Amino acid sequence: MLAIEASNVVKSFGDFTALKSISLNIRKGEFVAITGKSGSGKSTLFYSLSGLDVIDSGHVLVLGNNIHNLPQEDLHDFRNTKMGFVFQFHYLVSELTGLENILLPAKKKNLHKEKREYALYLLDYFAIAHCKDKLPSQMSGGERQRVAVARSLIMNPEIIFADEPTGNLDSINSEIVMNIFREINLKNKTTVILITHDDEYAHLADKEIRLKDGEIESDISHKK
Amino acid sequence: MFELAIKYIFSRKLQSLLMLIGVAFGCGGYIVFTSIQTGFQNFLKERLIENNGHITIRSREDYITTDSLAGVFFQGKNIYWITEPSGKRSHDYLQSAWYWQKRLEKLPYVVANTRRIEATTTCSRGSFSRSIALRGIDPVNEPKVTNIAEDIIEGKLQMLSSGNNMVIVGVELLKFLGAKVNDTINIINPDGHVYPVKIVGIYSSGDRRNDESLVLGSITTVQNILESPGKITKIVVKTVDANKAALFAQELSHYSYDRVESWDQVNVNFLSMTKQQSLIRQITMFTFILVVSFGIYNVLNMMVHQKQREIAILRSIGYTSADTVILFLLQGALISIAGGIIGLVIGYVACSYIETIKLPGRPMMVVWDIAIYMWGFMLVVTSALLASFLPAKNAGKLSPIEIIRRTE
Repeated sequence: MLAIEASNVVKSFGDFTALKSISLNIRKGEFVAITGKSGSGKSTLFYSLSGLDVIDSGHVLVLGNNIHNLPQEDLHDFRNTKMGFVFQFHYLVSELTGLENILLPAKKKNLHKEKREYALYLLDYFAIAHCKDKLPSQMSGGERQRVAVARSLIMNPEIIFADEPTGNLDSINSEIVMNIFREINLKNKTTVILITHDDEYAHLADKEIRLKDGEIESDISHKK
Repeated sequence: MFELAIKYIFSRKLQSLLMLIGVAFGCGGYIVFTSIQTGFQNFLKERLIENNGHITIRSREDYITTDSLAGVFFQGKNIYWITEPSGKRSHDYLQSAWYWQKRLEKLPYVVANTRRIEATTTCSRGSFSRSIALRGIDPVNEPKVTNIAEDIIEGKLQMLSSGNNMVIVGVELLKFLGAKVNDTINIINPDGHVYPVKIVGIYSSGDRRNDESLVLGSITTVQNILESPGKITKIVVKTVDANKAALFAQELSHYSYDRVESWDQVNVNFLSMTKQQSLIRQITMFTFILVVSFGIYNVLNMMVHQKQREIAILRSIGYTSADTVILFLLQGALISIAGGIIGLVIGYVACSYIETIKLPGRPMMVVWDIAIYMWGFMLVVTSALLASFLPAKNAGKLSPIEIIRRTE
């Protein structure tokens, strides 16, 4: 069963073609790292696969849904329930506490009361229970990012999209966050798509797709 | 979105407070200005109506021109005037006062009517003399049409009927003449004949012009003084609705050639002045509310700019464009409603205080009308909502991917 099936995806910015007819398959429950040098098209592929950005041609099926053909309302709903996002920057709402930030996706569906227990569990699980009532400005960088990861998990998504999630973290916090992704993948069988330029973290993944100049340079399996 | 909107409002306390103060004072200011001005205009309007009724009927004046005579003496001929005819053809007195009164009694919109005879003459006492407005009234019917009886501070209107040559004199005129009640003063008619009259009451309206010149007598007394027995110069009418007086006057004007005028037609200058006052107030309030609205627009616009990253994440975790519009629109709505409610209280408290301020002769006139409060509230809330709409719409238009690309 495929989590993502991309065929001949092309994305250009003016005269510059960022993705040159990319085709790839990602199975459900797979941990995939997309790597490559700066400007190789990693982030563009990430946004194209997640439906955050439109593509010029080709198609992307996410859990069997043509993500670029979904009506806007359905796309929002799909992102809310099936996908979780973690970015390099935490994007926490500065006026909300750690717990409120985690529950933000659930609030959209009016499920915040039901999800409260799970949010508290995530806080505890990620060793940030003390951040429950703290504002982002009162947290460390690692804590903020862990809150952001918890937020991406609150709706039990089937796919986690993580774009350089350790980019702003020190090595200790980076390792903590990466271990969390690995655990989520192993424990919940959640598909994780990780954008990174760090070979060490890429090796944690089941598969590494390396991009170069908008094309897939290599597709290596690290499965032991 | 509601909770987040509240959090956003409280996270920027100073900006939110300034917006709130602007809206509150916009609403309160509208209420205070409108209540005072409407109160003052109503006061003046009542003074005009209470002295002269809703409609007056008097004889029409015709001015003589070349055309007036051409059809009478020189039919079909070309006339070259050496000296063009001029002058005025009129009756000082109503020719058909009795007919008018019978007709008016039958009309459903006429509450009451009364006759008057008026003239400008002179009165004197000792070496003091002054030009006066001599008014002969019907002491029984006059109070049904005007509030003149309420301005009699000594004596009673009915005392004018107790005998001939009794008058009620304006308080300032009385002072000028150095007279008091029960004294006798002389009234000199236009032919120079002197009539002694007895003062039986004092009139004080607060209008200095009236108080310095008005002398009231019965119709018979004034007819005797003017040597015009049986003559009436004016019929004053009270209708069921002063605001429809012009309409009623137009209908009455079809009955006769006499001049029929409503109180607002007679006081057209006063009305244009009040309209001008209202226009100035509206322009002032519009400018003030515009400034407040610009303030709200600027604060929210800045907030949308500062919150771009958060808008991006909201959109990527499933919130729609409409959700972000609502988020910012809610902030405008909450601040404007809270400010509007505070404004209502400010307006009420300020009006209550202003009403206690004493002016010479009368307190400050403040009108208490729920419609003014509703309008004030609606006006500021609507303006604030409109001012919030543009920033909110801009927030809805933001593309999350553009923001993320810029940030990463």
